[in-house]
Amino acid sequence: MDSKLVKFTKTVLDVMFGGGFFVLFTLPVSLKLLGKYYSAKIEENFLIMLVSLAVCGVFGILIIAQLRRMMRTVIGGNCFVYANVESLQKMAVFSIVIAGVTLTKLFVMPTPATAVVVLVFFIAALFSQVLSHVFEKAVSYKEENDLTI
Amino acid sequence: MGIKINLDVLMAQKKTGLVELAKRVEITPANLSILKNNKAKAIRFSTLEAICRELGCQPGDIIEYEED
Repeated sequence: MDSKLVKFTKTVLDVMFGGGFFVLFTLPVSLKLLGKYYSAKIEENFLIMLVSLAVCGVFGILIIAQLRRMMRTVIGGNCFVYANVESLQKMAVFSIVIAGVTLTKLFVMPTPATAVVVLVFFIAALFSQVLSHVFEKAVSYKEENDLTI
Repeated sequence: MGIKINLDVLMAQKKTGLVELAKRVEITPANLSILKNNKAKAIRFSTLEAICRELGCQPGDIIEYEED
């Protein structure tokens, strides 16, 4: 595997992880500013926006944390482990939570972008779940191969 | 029990150590230990052939079927 690409991806994830916390903690201020200078609708539905974006932010950070864990195993050269299967399953759950929260927000503040987010995270949840099954099979094949002398 | 590996008995009979046999068969001592301790899920024909050659025995001497 291209180690440069892997390390670059890990760096991107690290930046996203730190950036995620920054965005999450500054969310009340940034939403206030967006409501003032971008759209009055944000100011009208401030609490709903704040809660939904904060929940999505927390679960987004949790997804990135799982991806970072997986990347560490890829860098370590031992990615076919059951911990990664669990990570993918967790990411599927986190994605479906984000899709659900955003769907609820869609009824309060319907925008095309919100609908796209719902669709993207719903598909991400499905892919993550399917990928966890594929990974599980790969791990069992690897274990069997390791125990073939 | 199912399939039982009698490698330890054969090795004792031939007075061969694990590390020495592993070297002669060209597999790692760790893998030979897995095989000897009945932890292996499968054995390659090439490995079986090499063990038979080095210990001067038949596959049936190494592998035995036991009723559960």
